[in-house]
Amino acid sequence: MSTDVERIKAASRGLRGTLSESLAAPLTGAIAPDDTQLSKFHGIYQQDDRDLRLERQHQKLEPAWQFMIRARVPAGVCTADQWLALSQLAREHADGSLRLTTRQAFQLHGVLKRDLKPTIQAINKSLLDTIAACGDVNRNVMASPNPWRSDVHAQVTEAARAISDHLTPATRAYHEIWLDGDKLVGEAEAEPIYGATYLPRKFKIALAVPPENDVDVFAQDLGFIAIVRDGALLGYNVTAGGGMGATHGDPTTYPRLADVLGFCAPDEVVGIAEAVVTIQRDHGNRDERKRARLKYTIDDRGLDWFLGELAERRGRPLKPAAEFVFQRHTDRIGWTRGEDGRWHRSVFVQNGRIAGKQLAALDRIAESHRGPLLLTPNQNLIIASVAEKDRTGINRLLEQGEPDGSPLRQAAMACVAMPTCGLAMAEAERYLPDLIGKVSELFAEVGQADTDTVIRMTGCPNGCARPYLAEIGLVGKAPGKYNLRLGGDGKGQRLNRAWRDNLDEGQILEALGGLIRRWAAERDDDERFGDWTHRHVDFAAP
Amino acid sequence: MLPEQVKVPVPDDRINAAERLAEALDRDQVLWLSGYLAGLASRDADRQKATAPAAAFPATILFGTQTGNSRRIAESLLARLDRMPGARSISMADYRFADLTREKQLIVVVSTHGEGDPPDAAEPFFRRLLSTRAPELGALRYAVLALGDSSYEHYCKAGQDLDRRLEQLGAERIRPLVECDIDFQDAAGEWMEALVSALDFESEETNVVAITPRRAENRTAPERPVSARVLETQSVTGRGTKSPTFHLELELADDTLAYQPGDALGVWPENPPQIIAGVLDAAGLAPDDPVVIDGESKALEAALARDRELTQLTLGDLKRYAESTGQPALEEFLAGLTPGERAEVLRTWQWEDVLRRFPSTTDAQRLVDGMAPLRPRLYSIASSPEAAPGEVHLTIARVAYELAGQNRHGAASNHLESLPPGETVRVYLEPNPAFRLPADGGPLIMIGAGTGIAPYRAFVEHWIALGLKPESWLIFGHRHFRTDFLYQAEWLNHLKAGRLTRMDAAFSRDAGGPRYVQDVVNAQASELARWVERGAHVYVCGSIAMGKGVEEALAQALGGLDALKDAGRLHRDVY
Repeated sequence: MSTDVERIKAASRGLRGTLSESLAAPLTGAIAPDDTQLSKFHGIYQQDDRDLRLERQHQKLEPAWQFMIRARVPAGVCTADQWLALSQLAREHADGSLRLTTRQAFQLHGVLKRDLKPTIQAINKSLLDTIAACGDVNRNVMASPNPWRSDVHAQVTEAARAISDHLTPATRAYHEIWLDGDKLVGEAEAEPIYGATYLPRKFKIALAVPPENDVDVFAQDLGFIAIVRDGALLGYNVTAGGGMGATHGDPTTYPRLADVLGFCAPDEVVGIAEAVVTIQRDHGNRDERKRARLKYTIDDRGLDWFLGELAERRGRPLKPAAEFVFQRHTDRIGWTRGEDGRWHRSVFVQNGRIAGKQLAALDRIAESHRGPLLLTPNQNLIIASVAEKDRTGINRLLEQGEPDGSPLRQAAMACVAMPTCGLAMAEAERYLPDLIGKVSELFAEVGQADTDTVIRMTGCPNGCARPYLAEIGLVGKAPGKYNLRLGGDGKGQRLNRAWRDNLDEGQILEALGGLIRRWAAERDDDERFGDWTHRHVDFAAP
Repeated sequence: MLPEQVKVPVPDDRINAAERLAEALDRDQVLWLSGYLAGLASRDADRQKATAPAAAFPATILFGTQTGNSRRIAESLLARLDRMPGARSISMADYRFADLTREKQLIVVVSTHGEGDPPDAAEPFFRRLLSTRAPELGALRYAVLALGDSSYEHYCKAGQDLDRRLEQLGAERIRPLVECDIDFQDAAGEWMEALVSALDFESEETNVVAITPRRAENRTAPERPVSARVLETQSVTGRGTKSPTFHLELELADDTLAYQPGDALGVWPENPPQIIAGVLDAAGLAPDDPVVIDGESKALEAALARDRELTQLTLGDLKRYAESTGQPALEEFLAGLTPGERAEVLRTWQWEDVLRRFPSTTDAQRLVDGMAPLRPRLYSIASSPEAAPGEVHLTIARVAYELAGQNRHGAASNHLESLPPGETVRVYLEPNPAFRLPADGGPLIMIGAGTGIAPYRAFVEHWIALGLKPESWLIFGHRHFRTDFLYQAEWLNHLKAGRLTRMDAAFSRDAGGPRYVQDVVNAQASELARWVERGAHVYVCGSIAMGKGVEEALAQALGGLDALKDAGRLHRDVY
């Protein structure tokens, strides 16, 4: 029994559906229900302001329909002009903020239906686009950021772009609907990789450059770990089957770390990506969306089957995996110097949300610096390729352009959640800063005010902020209630485990307070909080 | 179907045919058909009457009414003419124009609306009288009482036009034209007194039977209000609106107020405390100063709350105040205003503003004596008695504005919005027979802006409750799509379920799309014309300015409105 979304995709004539008619319908700020599934493939989510939902129902008004637009930024590389274009759109057509996502993309929130088309057109004019930013396709391809940092990073960024281009849907629907391209006459164009019904579910790819695992490569459907020896890129270890999403109370769904499959040469990544995508296209579960990710395909059929499929589609097996070492999956905020002597400044962005003074300051930096701005997988920003002489000016502008951030804050992530995300069961972005303030005090009480323990919070179990890899993971269950998970390794290589369910703030602080005190007293030298809880907490006890 | 014992003046075979026809129709179709046949019969009766010998009517009181005031004056005048056999009172809507030459004395009571327009129902009469088709009226004696509202520019214009036209046609004026403002009772009473003494009561031989004015079933009136209980008050505009509007649901105690969709509800407001406080402060008087109102002693505060009009001023109020307090400054101020400025002053000033700008030492009794009695407010009903039995729903825009940096609030809207559930308010029915669902079940084009959407909510809910599905087209306009799309969720549901055929909306403060309802009319001109060709009734409800713009657009779309008006298919409710 295939799902409703499968039916909608099949009948969509290459993702067209009735989107044009929906956009023109003047009496509602919404689009037709079926079109809300198709719009995702175009990078657009229909949402409503949930803070106003009940109020507007009483007012006999429809929900405050609005849209989230996600712009793809392969490997997070954004030019100054692109930054300025997006920033202007945020002010003109969105809620005044730019949201950097955990996948190095931009999100605009609060865009009204009538502003969708001009916004999409302006994004395309800036040479970014939104196609396949959401939907059952390959999403924004991530990479350890900053091609200006080293030659290897430049090659990895190039690989990310190549994969992204290769897996972009072929349909002209996007141009037709948003960019006033010629209307389709006759049959919809063929999708050479995806086919008429695209993938069973979203598909995520990332490329990591050790020792940084900032992309959380083990949380991806498909990953590539750069293998570097003496500054040269030898190739990649290929990983597959990672994924964060789960459903509360459904043990058939779970977060899963990717398996390391083997090694490939640098020029094999695009072919491997296509092969894995087509395996998932042909064998993924189209009957049950919550079990339609590649991780379940692999678990249901076995890793050996998967490796066999992959070898068959490529005509050869992978080579044995190479050694690699990850040290962290968070960003280092501050200045670093690249191989070519130029400087890069990682700027802290709290939960990826840039508004007000910070947006204005970054605009001025983009205007004066003219160099690239890079989106990191931890929702931060890098002002890249700065000459020594320009550092002072940028430092001065950043005085207004960067929130205060302790290492604990800088290491934290939250998804968007309320009030725009339709899936949220609890607050995340709006609440985490407040909670971190209180957790900071607990660490300060034991003399660990400068801890960089990784705290991640999501408003639902789908895992956008990758909470299952955090040392302290908080997964929203209900308004004000979270499941508390413990035991990530600070490197993104170990899933945390559920410890207590349905805690309110008082219970969270009480539980963490006791553990933090024990950790401070009992830990081995410099043992991370996540490692200590992994060893010492009794996860079986209620 | 018919009881056996009834003696029917129709042959059996015809009766059988009628029964077969009735069986093929549903209840509403049968009801409609009965009205249709009655109409045919009365048309035939008119034809027969026209061939009868001419007969003079001794005195006819001809009223043109929108809100019922002219009708009520006409009825009380008729009561004074009980010594005159054959005297009659009749609405301009029902008046046979051909009778005009057979009138001996014609007494006209007519109100003015919008841009100096007569009441909707009186419009065809006016058009004929002002046209070249009007007959010589050398034998006629007449008098005109004009009702109006001095806060509008074209004060009492309809009455003036009629008075002048009758003179042009050769008729002899019994009494000079008298113009009445919204506080018309005293002036109308004096006019009636003077008129009755000037009328000719001598009876002549006539064969005319007085036509009894048809009585509505409603048993309420402004002076006989009933108490209604607040069920719910709900804002129906979204956050950030510049046009805050609320939906008020009232529960009626019994069936003394029997209304139909299209009717309006008269509401007796109370002046809110902050308005009373402003007046007391401006006048330098204490809340418990004693006053006598209609022979009853009470505290000034109570009198200001329930007996006196504090927020809607007339020119008469200002002139009386200037005279009684010896205020040359106020008289000079008024004399120096253009008509537009004067209308603006009357629209925005409240008693507090008069007292502050032109202060005088006055005592409590003189203050209340100089103020007009509290007036009721009329709201188009937004509910159907079939869909919400025992309830009346209103759509009310909250009146609030700034005057010279001071916040000013409308008395009624703010009073009503402040009432918690369970509180009561005094209400009466103001029938609006010219604004009814089409008797022929024909298509409807409903055009409304702002709270002008209210009667259409009543219409739609009514036909849904009756299981009807007329072809219907709603055109709504307001400021912002996001915040001001009144009852949006309901309309979307009706459209989805096919209970409303079509809807267009215009938002004046949003970019893109039509800005005003008349823009929709212009853009959809040919489709509108097709609907009207198919027999559609056109309804217009909203502000005067909106009504004017819509009618101009409609006239252009349809190549004139005369045919629509003559067919009784243009219905207006503008305020």
